[in-house]
Formats: sequence, structure tokens, C-alpha cells
Amino acid sequence: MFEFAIAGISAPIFLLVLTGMTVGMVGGFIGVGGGYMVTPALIVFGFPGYMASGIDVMHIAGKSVVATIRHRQLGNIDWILGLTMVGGTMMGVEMGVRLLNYTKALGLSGIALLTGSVGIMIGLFLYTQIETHKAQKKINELTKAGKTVGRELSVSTLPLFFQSIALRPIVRCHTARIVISMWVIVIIGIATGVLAGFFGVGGGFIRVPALVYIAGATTHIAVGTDLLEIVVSGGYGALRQYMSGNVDMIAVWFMIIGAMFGAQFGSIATSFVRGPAIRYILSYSLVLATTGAFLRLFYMLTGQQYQFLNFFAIVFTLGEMIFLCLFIMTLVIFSVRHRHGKWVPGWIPSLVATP
Amino acid sequence: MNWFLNSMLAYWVVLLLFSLGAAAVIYFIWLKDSLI
Amino acid sequence: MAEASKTRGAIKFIVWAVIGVALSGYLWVEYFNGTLVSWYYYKTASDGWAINAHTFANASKDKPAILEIGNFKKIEGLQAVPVKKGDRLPTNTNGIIDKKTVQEGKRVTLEGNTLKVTVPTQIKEAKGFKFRDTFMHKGIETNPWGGAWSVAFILALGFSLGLMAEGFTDMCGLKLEKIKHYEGVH
Repeated sequence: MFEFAIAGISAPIFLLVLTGMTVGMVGGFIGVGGGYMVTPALIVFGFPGYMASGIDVMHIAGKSVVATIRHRQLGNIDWILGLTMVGGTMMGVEMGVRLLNYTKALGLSGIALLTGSVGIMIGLFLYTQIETHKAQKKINELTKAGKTVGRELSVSTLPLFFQSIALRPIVRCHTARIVISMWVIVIIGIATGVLAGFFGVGGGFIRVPALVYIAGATTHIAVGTDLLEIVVSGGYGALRQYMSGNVDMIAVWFMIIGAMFGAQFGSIATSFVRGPAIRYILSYSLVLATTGAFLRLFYMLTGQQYQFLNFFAIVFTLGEMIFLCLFIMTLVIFSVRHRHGKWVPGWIPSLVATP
Repeated sequence: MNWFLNSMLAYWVVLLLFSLGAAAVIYFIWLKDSLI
Repeated sequence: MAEASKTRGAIKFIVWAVIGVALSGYLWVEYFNGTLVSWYYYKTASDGWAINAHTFANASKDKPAILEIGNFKKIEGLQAVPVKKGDRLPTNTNGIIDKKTVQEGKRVTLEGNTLKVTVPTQIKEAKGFKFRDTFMHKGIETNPWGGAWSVAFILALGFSLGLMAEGFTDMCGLKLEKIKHYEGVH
């Protein structure tokens, strides 16, 4: 246990480092900040609610730099796409927060907000899960037919529509090989930012699917580019959180030490898998986060009477991070085994990359 | 058995149970006494 | 050729590891010498009394904490310093009991030249979990330069750790090439 002078509490260092490591791994792999997992976990560890948010956002800023550097090396960043979106994202978040404050003043309840955010997460989960499942089936069919399937395969036809919008200026994203109206990218940034700011959900797990299914980037490029985005928006968010008195830098440091290892592994792990594997992990994180939110909501709605509900909610919040990490490690281990011709479960070959 | 080993859903469920078990261990070691 | 890149990797790893360790050391030094704490507990954001919430953490309705009001430069024990919005905080302050809370009278009451605290902690909820909400962090304003320093620090630390890791993988001979996104059917 460490006595955090600024936060004013004692918390176990091991759990902070472990949280940083697990969320770093997940974030580096699917391109999210992971706040929806970390903030509840920090509250369980004893941090006041407002400090949990602040420590999380500050650590996300640092962790995203670590992951972005590795993704740059792997060629997963489209700078034009990322930098075009940044302005829209920050504007969108600001608009979302103001909209939230306005609707709260009108009497919008916390339950309505929670329902809205859960609705978005479930909708995204269903679309991503169904599309990825179809993509995996198509990879299996093509492989059986003797074709060499590349790193990415998506069956969504949405990008074709959005890429056909001819509003000038048109940008050419060289790495992502997209030719698209700048306004589509800016509006993706604004829309995802508004959703993030209004519902208090992270930007990453909305932006990565948006980059894949609307802009038409490959999943790897969506992940790397989104992490670049998070460096900018996270840095700005971190500054605001510090100014609001929500940050304990020593707690952030312990989490970064864990993230140092986790984000590396998660980012490098993307080079072992195909796009659909990343989309599967993203959809799992959505459904697990939603289930965790439901358990917590149920505990609150039953008047906090039943301690076993609190126990389940805590165990689920911590367990979902561990699950996602172990699944990512599984994909890497099986990818290496598959390359060496060893046995792997039947669902692996379509998800892993062969050199 | 073959179905089980090759099933993604089965692996998902087993891994989730394992992860929840690990989280429960963490809860009992570090968190149980300090909760409100 | 491979040896040359391993050597370059080793140099990169060592240089950025030293920078990362130096940055971390700098953070800890600033923490232990009280700089981080003083940037955090910087100014008052509302009118009220500056206090140290740890000193009366165990107060209750049966055993209230009596805080002596005075213009102390450093809060030691059960003391409270009257402050106005924008004042610098006395040393050892970690929160403000604001005038509104005292006027409500449910947690703190003003009795002559003392503040009587009966409810130091409230249980609040965020993200579905409960946490202890005390007078710590209430009514304080952080130093804006502290914010800029913290963000710059964390980005610099992330940068050094990221490059350190790149050097490490080069040093170990782990070949990480750019992913070929568009080969094969896609």
C-alpha cells in the first residue's frame, strides 16, 4: 500500500501497476483509452470518483504516446487522416459536454444517460460482432478456395457510400489508401466527440469502428491513427482534469509503469493478427463493459442492499480487463504456433496473420 | 471434445470464467477489507 | 549488418532508459520536496475556511471535531483559516469548508470562533461504486503551471518509454517491420 498525498488515500501499488498493464495492452491492441474500465476500477481501489477520472485521463495521455510510437514503427498511422480528424474531435467533445450540461439543467436524469450510453455500446457491439463474424467466414471460404487472404477483410459496404461523397476539399490518405471528402473525416471526429462528451463514454471505441466502417480504413490503421488522436485529445483532457483538481501524478506514474509493458505488448500483438481479430476484441470489450455497467446499475437500483451484487460488479469490472488481456495473449501465442505448423483451434487461422 | 477444442465460444466462456476467478482472488486478497 | 542495428538499438535503449529514469526521478523528487503538493493545493476557489481534512477524519456527531479559527500560516492540527476566493492556501491545507456548507449546518456549524465538524465524510457514488467523499480537494484551485508541467511531463515520459522500448526490441533482434496492409485479398 502507498499513501498518496494528493489523492489522500492509501491504495495498493500492485493493483495500479496491474491495471495500467492490462488496460495498456487492451488499449494498444484495439486503439482505445480504456477509461470505461479503469475509472470504476480506481474507485474500487479507494480513489474518490472525480480523482479516478482525472488520474485515468492523465495516464491515457502518456500511455497513448507509448502505443503510438510502436504503431508508427508498424506503419499503422495515417497522419493525414489523424490530424484532419483531431480538430473535429476536440470541437465535438466540447459541444458534447456543453450539451450534457444544458440537458442536465433541463432535468435529464442519470438513468437516461446510462441507457443512452448502453444503447450505443450494444448497437456497436452487435454491428461489429456480426460484420466480423461474416468477415471471418469469408476468409475461411477464400482460404479453402486457395486464395491468399491479406491482413484485412471487411464485408461492410458503408465506406463505399461515404467515400463517394464529393464535397471538396478531398483528402488523399496515403497510408490508409482512402480518397475521401475532408468533411466526412471532420464530421466523424465531431460526431464521435459529441457522443464521447455527452455520454461520458470514451472516444476510442466509437472512433475505431467509425474509421473502419465509415472512412474505410483498415482496422490496424484505424487503431494506430486513433491512438494518435488520443494523444492530442487526451493531453487536452488531462490538462482540464488537472485544472479541476482531479489528478494525483504519483498514481498516474504507477499506472504508466504498468502501461509501459502492456501498451508495448498490445501494439506489437497487432502485427500477429488480422483485422477481424482486433474487431472481435473491440466488440468483446463493448459487451463486457456494458455487462459491468448493468451489474453496477442493478446494485445501485436495488438500494445497495445486496452485497453479493457489489461483489459481482467489482469482480466483473476487474475480470473484464484480465479477460481481454488473456485473449490478446492467446491470439499471439496461437499465431506463433500456427506459423510453426503446430496445432491451433479451428477458429485461429482466419484471425492470425501468416508472414 | 473436438467440438469443444475448436469452438471459439467455448474458449470465450472458459477464459471469462478463469478471468473472473482471478479477479475474485484479487478482491479477496487486496480489496475485501477496504470496501465501503 | 544485424549486429550494427543491434548496437544502435542498444544505444537507443540506454539513452532513452536514462532519460525515462531521470524524468521519473525528477517527479519523485518534486513529490517528496512538496512541490507537486503545493502546485495542487494552490489557491482557494470559494470563500470559506481552509482546513486539513485528515485532522478531523474521525469526527462524528457524538465526538465532533472543534476547529480553532485563526490566521495561521500553517495548519497544524484542528485549525481553520478564513479565506476568500483567490487567496493562496496556507501550508498543510488540503481542502476548504465553504460558507454554503456552514450555512446549511448539516455537516459543519460555526460556533463563536470555532467550527464544529460532525460529518467529515459522506459516501458518494460514481460509475456505480461507492467512495468516501471528504472535505479534501473541495474548493481548491490548482496552479495552471502545474497542469502544463504535468501534461508535458507525462507526454515526455511516454515518449521516452516508447523510444526506450523501440531500442529494446532492436537490441534483442526482434524484427518489427511495417505491416503490409494491402497484400492478398482484402
